[in-house]
Amino acid sequence: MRNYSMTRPMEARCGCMPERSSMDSDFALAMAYVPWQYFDTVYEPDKALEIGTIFPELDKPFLAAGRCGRP
Amino acid sequence: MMMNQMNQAQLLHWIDMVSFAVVDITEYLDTHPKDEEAIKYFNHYMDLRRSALRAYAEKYGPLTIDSANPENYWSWSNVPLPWEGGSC
Repeated sequence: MRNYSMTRPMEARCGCMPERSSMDSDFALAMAYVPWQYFDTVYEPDKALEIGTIFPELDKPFLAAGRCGRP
Repeated sequence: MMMNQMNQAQLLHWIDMVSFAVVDITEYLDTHPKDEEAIKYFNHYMDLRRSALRAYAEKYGPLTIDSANPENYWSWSNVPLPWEGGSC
């Protein structure tokens, strides 16, 4: 049996590569995209101040890099 | 609770809330300058902020120089600020 340890692709090693999708061809490589935001429902001001945004769609836990955040 | 029934700490918290709404919608409007609903929201909370700052200044001294409005006493530098115990 051949030894593939130096040549195996990334997905074979860690399973972290995304699947190819039909959307791939719609986007240029190396470009970042931010979806357009629409003004819709907003939090009441007391809740917004506590959470840190008036927009429910931007209310995220932001738990990366050891930061403390709301669960 | 109406603004004129609030104590100093409650009024300061009210100012924090409406000011935060103004700040957050300002960032949205920077990228959506024609969004009329967002402009209405901005104007609503900006009015609340202005009147709350005026009410606070009348009772406890100005929080910003815009609401200083001195007549015969320079209260701007002569009242305890919130971080000096002014709201405790």
